[in-house]
Amino acid sequence: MKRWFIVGWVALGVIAVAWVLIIRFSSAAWAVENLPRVPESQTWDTRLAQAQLTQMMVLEGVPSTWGDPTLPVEGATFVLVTVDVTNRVEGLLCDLSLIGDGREWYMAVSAASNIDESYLTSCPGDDVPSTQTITLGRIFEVPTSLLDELEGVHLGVAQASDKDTFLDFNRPQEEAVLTGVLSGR
Amino acid sequence: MLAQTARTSGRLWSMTARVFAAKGPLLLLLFLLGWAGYHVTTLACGTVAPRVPWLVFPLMGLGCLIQLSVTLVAYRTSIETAEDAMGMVREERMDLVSLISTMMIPFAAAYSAFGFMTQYAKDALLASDAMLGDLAHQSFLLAVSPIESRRTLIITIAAFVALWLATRGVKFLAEKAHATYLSLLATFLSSCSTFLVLFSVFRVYEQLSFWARDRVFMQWWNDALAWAGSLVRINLPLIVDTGWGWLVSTAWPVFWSVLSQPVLWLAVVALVAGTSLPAIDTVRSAVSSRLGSDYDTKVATVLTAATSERAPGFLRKIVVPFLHLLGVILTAGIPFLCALIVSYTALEWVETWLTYLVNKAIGPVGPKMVLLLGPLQDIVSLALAPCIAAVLLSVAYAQLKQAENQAAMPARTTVPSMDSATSRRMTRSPGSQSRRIGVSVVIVLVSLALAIGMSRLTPPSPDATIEMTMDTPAMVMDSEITLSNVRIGRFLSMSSGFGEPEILFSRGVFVVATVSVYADQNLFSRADLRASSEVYATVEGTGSVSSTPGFVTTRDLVFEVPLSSLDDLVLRATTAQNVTSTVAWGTLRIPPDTPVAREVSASSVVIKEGR
Repeated sequence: MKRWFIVGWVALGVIAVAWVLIIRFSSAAWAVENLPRVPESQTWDTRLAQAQLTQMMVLEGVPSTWGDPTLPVEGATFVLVTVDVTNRVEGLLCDLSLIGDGREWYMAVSAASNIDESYLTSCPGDDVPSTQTITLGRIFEVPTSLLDELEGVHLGVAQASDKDTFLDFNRPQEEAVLTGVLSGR
Repeated sequence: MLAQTARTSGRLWSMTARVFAAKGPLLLLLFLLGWAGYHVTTLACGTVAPRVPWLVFPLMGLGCLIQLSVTLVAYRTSIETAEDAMGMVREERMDLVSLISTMMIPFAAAYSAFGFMTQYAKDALLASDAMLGDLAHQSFLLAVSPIESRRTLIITIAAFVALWLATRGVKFLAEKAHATYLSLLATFLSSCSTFLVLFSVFRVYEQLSFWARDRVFMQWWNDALAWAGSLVRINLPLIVDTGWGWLVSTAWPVFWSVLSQPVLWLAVVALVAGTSLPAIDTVRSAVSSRLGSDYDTKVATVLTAATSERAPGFLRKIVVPFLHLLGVILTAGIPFLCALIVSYTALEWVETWLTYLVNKAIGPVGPKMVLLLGPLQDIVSLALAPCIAAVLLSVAYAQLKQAENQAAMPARTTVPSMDSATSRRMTRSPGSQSRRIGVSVVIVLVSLALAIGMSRLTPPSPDATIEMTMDTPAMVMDSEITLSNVRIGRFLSMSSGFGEPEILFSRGVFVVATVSVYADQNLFSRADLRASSEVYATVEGTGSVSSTPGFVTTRDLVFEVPLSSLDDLVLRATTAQNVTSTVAWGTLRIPPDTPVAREVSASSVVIKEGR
């Protein structure tokens, strides 16, 4: 009985340690820190796609087809990021965000196609056959004081199935941070 | 009788202390393992839920099996210790695996009835958000909801039928081969189907109630009530609504949580103890003597059928013994029942306050720490309190059994060995009988008042409060929040940034405040307005400010409150995350002398500024 008693307490201790490790290395709150990093100018090569961060640059403003250029709000700067993605499967879904020192910026403020018409906002899903390369472009608004902290982009990819909805962007099948250096300052 | 009630309570607690002193560390370890199993399976469910939704059912079944096993071992250990401590002869009992297999369904039903399963499911969904991000739980709920698609409905029905057949088949094989692992497998399959049914029934019930609320007959019902009320010139719909509200919010919780819970759990403990069903003739004669001889044949037929070898195992092994035990408990006498109910409620009361203290000690924590510390928040309710409750109920069971044994023995030899107290009882006068009834009523009322009083004496919210001053930023959890420019008016000019502002009129007043939030992470801040015990949400409905890292986000919050509440208005703001536990609220008391203007303006535009 005494032996089982000790085994029980040891099991409890092991579960407690495992709990801390699982939360630290798998939970959403620590997701940014836990993502694998792809070194600058290297290609991220996975089962679903190949991707490379091609630019991460500061913009003064974004040209608008209707009038004056769109300018960032006070104390902020636009950052354009472009990623070349080659899909290896049909129906590839992508999601892109900007990463810097544990922070993440999701919302794109203006269409990157205003800079270059070839830039796509997201992967075209079923509209392109496999092994075609597209350029994903997004413009983010970042506080000027945090520009030095920018590390790269968080790219998540998933293969769409018949019942996929926008919710699936919440759970990419493969994801990584493509690191890069900010230019144009 | 008063002294007897006090003596019973004293014996109950002193024996509980003795049993706990003897086996406390072991029992606590068992419940801690159950608590750990609960959280590990919750985490596993949360992780797989959006990816492989159907895997959640076996995982929850496994979690339930872990809970069940450790609780049963703990119950049995404390029952045996209590019996030893009271010098009772141990009954011959079934082995542990058979016990788990037999007790799974009543145990799951008892846990479900008192909200355990609901909490388990909620925690799994929260874990899903915590592990995979916001909205992750929704894709799970959609994927397993039988009302979402015909395909899911078919899968649900097919899975249920398959599980039911598999359970029967494995049980049959287990009985044939006397294989314990097959019994455990049958139990596991059975618990999987329980969760499947719980999810399906919940969804179908929800759908049916939505459907019913939209039907014309609801209008007919209201019209019929109004017509019936008009005959006697009373507002019958209001009376029915108020009565129903009282029943649901006051009477039912008291009946169910305070009165029924200890009795039902004691019956479950007695089942675990393996209390054998008395001879069928004994039960039949007892029942027919209560109902009269006309019922003798019918009762005999029903009881014989229900307890015969051909009756379904669940009916024979669980339902009939459970009902019998319930009857034994309910007729155990007022002192015992009052002592049990008051003691159990006292334990729950201590549990509630200890949980409050733990939450207060943990305090408000940010998104990164909330899941790490999450299990500590229910360590009292899932480990410590059930551990003491198990001992208390086991001791209560042992005392009940001992009293039954003592009562049964003199029944055959009462007259020759009758003691003086019994002799006095036999010759009691009608006056003393009515006095005895009076004392019983007083004891019942005092016990009820005590139990209800304790159940109502709930602790305050463990949330922390940070007093704020106008225009001064305050750190509220992970956000820096500033409340400013509070204005009050009868008319509201609401601009959306496009076109003319919309003018709104209030029968009370509009209270508008500007809130600015700076956070280092993507967070939601929300606000409400308190006036005494009322809480008002913003007019827009959400009252949340979504902050982006490094930006100050500013917006107007609009509330509509009665004019009479202006003397006691407190604006509160906090930072929320999807797995929020104890939070900190920044509070700003709005000065009562704030002038009420004819018109105030507000904007729904959110302003963002880099810092």
